Amino acid sequence: MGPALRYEWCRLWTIRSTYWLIGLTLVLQLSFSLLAAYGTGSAHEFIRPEEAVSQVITLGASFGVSPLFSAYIIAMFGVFGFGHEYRYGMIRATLTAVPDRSAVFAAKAVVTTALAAVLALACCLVGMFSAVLFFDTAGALTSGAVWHVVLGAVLYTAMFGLCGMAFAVLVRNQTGALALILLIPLVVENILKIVLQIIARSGNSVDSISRYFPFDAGAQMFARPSAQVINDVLGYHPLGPVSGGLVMLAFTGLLLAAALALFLRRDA
Amino acid sequence: MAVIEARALAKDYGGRPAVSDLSFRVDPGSVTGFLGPNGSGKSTTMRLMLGLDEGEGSTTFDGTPFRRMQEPMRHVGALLEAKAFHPTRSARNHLRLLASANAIPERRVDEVLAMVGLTSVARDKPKKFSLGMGQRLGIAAALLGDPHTLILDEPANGLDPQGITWLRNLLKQLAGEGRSVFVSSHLLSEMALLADQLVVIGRGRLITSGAIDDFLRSNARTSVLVRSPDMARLGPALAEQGGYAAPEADGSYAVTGIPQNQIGNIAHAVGARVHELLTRQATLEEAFLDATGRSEEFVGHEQSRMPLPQPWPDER
Repeated sequence: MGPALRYEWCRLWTIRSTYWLIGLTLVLQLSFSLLAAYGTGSAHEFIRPEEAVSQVITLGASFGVSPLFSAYIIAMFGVFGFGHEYRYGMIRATLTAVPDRSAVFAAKAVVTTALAAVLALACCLVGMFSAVLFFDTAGALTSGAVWHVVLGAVLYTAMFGLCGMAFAVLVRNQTGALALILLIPLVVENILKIVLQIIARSGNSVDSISRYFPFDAGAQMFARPSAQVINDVLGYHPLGPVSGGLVMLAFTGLLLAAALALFLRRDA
Repeated sequence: MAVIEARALAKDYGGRPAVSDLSFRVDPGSVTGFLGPNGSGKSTTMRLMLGLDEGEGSTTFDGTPFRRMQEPMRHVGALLEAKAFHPTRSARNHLRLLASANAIPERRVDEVLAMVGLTSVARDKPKKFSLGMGQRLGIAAALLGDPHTLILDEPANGLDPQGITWLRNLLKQLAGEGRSVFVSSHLLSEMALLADQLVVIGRGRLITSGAIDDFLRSNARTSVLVRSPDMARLGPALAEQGGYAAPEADGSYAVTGIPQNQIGNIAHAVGARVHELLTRQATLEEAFLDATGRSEEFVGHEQSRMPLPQPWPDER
């Protein structure tokens, strides 16, 4: 495991995409959180400070009205972790340097998790900085509610990155994996959700299925209780943060297990 | 110094066998050439040996399979194909990356870059490299851990004539130091200059393995050129001794099955005059074509056939 980790670490810091992706993540998070803070600041008398801060650091995702933007960029690290190997034939060089495939897989998972978690935390801190610039956070930065959102966003991003990595192994194609990690949470889950809701209105009670959609369930880790208002209107009853997180964890685990099983068996 | 032992290697792609029941051995101190027509399974065999492809059989390097090695590059250096690198990771960083997992000091990275002549482009991106430069980077990677065993798939690919000469000398030197060098090539002339031992495969099966000299000597195309005005007497005498004389276009005969000195003795015994007596060693190319002809998958139709044996001419 040691050699594999050293290899993966060196791999990460000897390609340009690592640097521009980190830069892109932080610059976009700063720009959008400044805009969000500006918008929230002008209306912050209507919501509690911790909700305002949560909204700024997640760019609205804590209200359940938008996806966790930063996670989608950070997930590219997971996709590239294996995507670059397959795209450039590097996998053969990698496996002649580190022939233990489980170690290669584990090292990539560890580095993806660590990097995604650190970057997600950095994004939250950038969001807090933006919030402080535009409105009185009134002690919200030290409130448990805000840090629960931070924890949720960090855990979600780490798992999201791992899903990206697993997709890259499963399809052995960088572009395909990027498409999957973007389309499943943003399009597939939402379309299925709408379909299920239509069925539910016609008399069948099946909307309870949609709350187990892995990425939707995982998003409950950083959704604030006030999001419940919108959900009530939509007649949608999501899982709580802990059970939602566990559903996403189980999904991520299954995806990783399938990816590892294939990675161990397939030709490089 | 390691003995490579491949045992019963087999691999099929969707039911179509690429390699079947292939066993051979590579000894230290020699360059072992790996020959086979296109698509005969050479690259697949090499990937099987390194555990990159999943298949049957096993390969050990002094008893240890590649996949169980700690710091494998210090034991086995491999060049599998050009361009197993990221196009924007500099040549030096590529080697540093490989070195990082094998406890190889950075000093060695610069050493191998100098050895393959890439020092001046060490910090350039491989996407700008020519095929030959990419090949040199692959060779540098194989040499990185100063391994006792080298497995090289078509290392001469893309190299210019100077590069090929350099590679030949390098591999001979490495073998001379007691290392095991296993190298595939489709350039038979190159192999004839380079290899001491051969492993020849066709359609994924072993055709022959052993010393290259034995391979050439045992080939039917190794013949003795006999020019004699008394062929009417000598011919039947040779046939009696198990020889086979095929007439050549210029009136001489190519005799197979009897060595040169014995032909001389027979000629003397029957009182035949001999004007020319010359052993013609089969070229590696002829021997290779004969050996693999039957197994070749995509064989073209020959334009002309060997002349059929003719009756002996009248005594002149």
